Amino acid sequence: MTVWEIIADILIYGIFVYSIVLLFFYIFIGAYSIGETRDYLRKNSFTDYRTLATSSNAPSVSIIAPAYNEGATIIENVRSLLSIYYTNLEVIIVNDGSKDDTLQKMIDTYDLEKIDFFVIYQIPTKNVRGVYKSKNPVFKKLVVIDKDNGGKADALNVGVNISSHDYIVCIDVDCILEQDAILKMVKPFLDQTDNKKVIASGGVIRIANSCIIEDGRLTKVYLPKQYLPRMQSLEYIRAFILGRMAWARLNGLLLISGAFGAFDKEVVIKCKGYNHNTVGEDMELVVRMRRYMEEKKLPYKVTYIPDPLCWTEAPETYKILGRQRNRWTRGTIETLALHKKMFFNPRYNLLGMISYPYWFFFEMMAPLIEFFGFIAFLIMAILGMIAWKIFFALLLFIICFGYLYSAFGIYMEVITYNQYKRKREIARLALTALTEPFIFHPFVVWAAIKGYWDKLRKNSNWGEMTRQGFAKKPATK
Amino acid sequence: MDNALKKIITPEVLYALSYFFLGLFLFFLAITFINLFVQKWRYFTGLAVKEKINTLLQKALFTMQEDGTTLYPVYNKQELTLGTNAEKQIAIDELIRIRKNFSGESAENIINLYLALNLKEYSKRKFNSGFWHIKARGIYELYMMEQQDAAREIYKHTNNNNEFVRNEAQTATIHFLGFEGLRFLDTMSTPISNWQQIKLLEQLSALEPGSMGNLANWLNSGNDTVVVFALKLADIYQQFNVYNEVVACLNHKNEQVRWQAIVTLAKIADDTTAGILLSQFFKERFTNKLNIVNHLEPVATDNNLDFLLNVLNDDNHLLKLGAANIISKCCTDGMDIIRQKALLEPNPYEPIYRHIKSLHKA
Amino acid sequence: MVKILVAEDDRLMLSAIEFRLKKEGYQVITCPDGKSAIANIPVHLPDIVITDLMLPYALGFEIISHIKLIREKNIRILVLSAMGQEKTVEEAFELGADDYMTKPFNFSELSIRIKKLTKQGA
Repeated sequence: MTVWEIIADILIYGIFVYSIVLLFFYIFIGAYSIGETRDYLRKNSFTDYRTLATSSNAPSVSIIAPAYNEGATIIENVRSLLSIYYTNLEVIIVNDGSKDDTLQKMIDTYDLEKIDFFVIYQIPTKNVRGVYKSKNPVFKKLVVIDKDNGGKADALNVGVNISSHDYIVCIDVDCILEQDAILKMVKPFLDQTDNKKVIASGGVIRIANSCIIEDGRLTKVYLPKQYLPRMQSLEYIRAFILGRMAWARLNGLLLISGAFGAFDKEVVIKCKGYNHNTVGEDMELVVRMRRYMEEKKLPYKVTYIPDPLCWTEAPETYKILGRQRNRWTRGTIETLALHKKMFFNPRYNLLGMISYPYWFFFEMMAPLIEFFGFIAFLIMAILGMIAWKIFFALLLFIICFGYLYSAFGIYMEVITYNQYKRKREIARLALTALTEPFIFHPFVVWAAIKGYWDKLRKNSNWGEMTRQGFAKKPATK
Repeated sequence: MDNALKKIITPEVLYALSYFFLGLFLFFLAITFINLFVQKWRYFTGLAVKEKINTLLQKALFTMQEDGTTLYPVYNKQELTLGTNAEKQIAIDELIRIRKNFSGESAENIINLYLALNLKEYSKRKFNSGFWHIKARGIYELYMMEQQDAAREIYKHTNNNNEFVRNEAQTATIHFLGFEGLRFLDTMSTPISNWQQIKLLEQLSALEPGSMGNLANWLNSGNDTVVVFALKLADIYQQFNVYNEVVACLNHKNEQVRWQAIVTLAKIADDTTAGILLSQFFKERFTNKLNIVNHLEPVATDNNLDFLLNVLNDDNHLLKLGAANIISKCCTDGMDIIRQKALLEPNPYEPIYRHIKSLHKA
Repeated sequence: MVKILVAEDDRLMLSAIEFRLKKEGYQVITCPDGKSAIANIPVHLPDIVITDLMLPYALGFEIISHIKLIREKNIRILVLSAMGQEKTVEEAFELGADDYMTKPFNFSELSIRIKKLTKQGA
């Protein structure tokens, strides 16, 4: 055997094993999510969540919503947050040094006045310019913070510092929450019966494009009419109904969407809050919190609830979608790089042995492998080295597998929290699934590759401090 | 390509698998559509049942005489027939939802309607089911509809191995027996989640406070969650008679228990409490230190000023702020003390002083 | 005729209350959510508003604060809510509620309270 043959063999077997493991993960996730979903539905079929609203023993919660140049919509957004059902609640809006009239609009509408507030920088952040509260008792729950611009992570950290409550719910200010969202989000923290402390709980993100929104409330749900949002609806269904559910059951969840997640404030502070040096601050925080608990040998859990509670607009153009996926890729790379110590490290149990490697191989590496696979394919095709018969068979195989997975996702959606009740919508969703391998998927891979490229470039000239504000459309992974 | 792989992955195998997947794909799509159809059908039959229940409820709630007093409503047989179990379930859910809003005669009328519709039998069947989620629901329905005769049977499940069955059984027992029902805590070996504690306290809050004879025993329970729950009871119902037991809980090894004990102690305080909490302060880690400082308001006096001034000088700002707050509220000329401090050491005491001042204003 | 506006999100409850109050001889306007209550109150200028606290679009507190802005008439406010926490009740009164009833409630009790409020208003 020549060296080349050995290398070729390693590559072939490597890719073979990779694909088989990946397929098994998919099958496992699909199957494993069923039990978790069923149990969740059974456990909560007659839960009266309003008990939490009527009880004086309910835990206290702060909603933290950072706002940067949101002048056009801020009033509407805050109004909708103030109509959430929860008694022991504080709604903290952090104005991250907006250049527009975000702050002034809030001051005028909500009759705010600056109060003397001793800010304790438990997590180091940029300077807080002022804390505002309303003179009108009806807006008692509202706290507005004005601070120097420092990016989303920094704004969230300021919110954590100011929060006077036990649990925090971090959201994107422009997402639409169901009014009972907090009642449902808090429950997992109270459900604990073993010694495993619930440190964080994630929620589902749903796509609001084409839905009808009145006065900050979602009144009618439609499947997005445009292709990209529709495709993302399918993607989110698969990710949230199958993926997150299975990972939550394993207690291996690494990501809670920045757009909607709840945390135990004490643990967040002990971990020093969000990291403002990464674009993937939402994932990074969860990974760091888990790592902290593992290192302190404290039993813990990260949970997730499948009720559709948070709605957001998904990118409608290739340009914005591309930027979003570019950022997600960089966020993943940065997070995994920061915590590379855990990679197959038995000290971190399931986190180090399964969750981290899964993210490394199948979330972070996948686009790279696909991309180079495609390049290799092109070269081999030009050189006439492709065995076309087996190529087409493999292609068909993998496409059909993808279709099956999507169909299963749609099925699970329909039998659980179905939002798309019209037959036409489900048919369109299925048709959209058919186009995925040819249009959407290659694009997403390409965007991820660009993310890799940007990451490489940025690292080569480090020292240049690029202060990202918020991307216009928030990461809603 | 490598030979071994070539033998396993032949195009034939791949095509066969692809067709299999495709078949499954179509299968899932098909059952998805069937499901949609069934859901729609159920929705409409559900509407019909709801409509029926609505009419019956009007009758149940508002059969009135001219003088405004209510009469016992009379139903005819035909109105009272419900078909499938699904229909019965919808009817029960509607009745329970409405029943939650009412007390007194209106509630009684709803319960009578539940009986007239023969739904009790259905609930009992569920209660006897072997599936935990069905059993739990059966219990829920029976107590929401005040079926006292099931109380004994249900009580037996208050320590059931399944969390959801025992949760419902506990709630039901309180519902039926009031404070007396709390006796299930005597032998409780399973944990009570926070959620369940909240539910039980809600259930109790609707009742006249009753006797909690075994409270002292619960505070000594080997089951930590029972201790926490008992501490909450002592707090809410101001059980001064268990003061010593609560103090003893400060030595509990579970931090959660100590946390709640501190909170409770502040509520049932006497003139020894301040001293006890202060000495506890030095034994605790940060979270409970802060907890103690934040709960000193009802007990602190000028006698504790030295201690508070010490805490005011602590490195931790949260403790400083807590101490400043207590000094301002509990000590003679407390506000002045803080102001003096702010003059001496403007950083950080100046903003602390202003923070406290604005708290007082609010 | 005494005009009562009822804001309650459970349709069945809403129709039950409407039915009962009409029988007792009141004129009743029903609102299934906070938004429609806020829109309808200045139009109908009822004598009494019975409102839940947890309502779609706008919480009961917001409705109360809107009523307090109305100068043409002294509208009496009765809060009818499952929330019985001391803090919540205090907040309602602070904002200007005239009476507070917690659910579960009794219709005869509601009638008595309404009669009291009408007397106060007159």
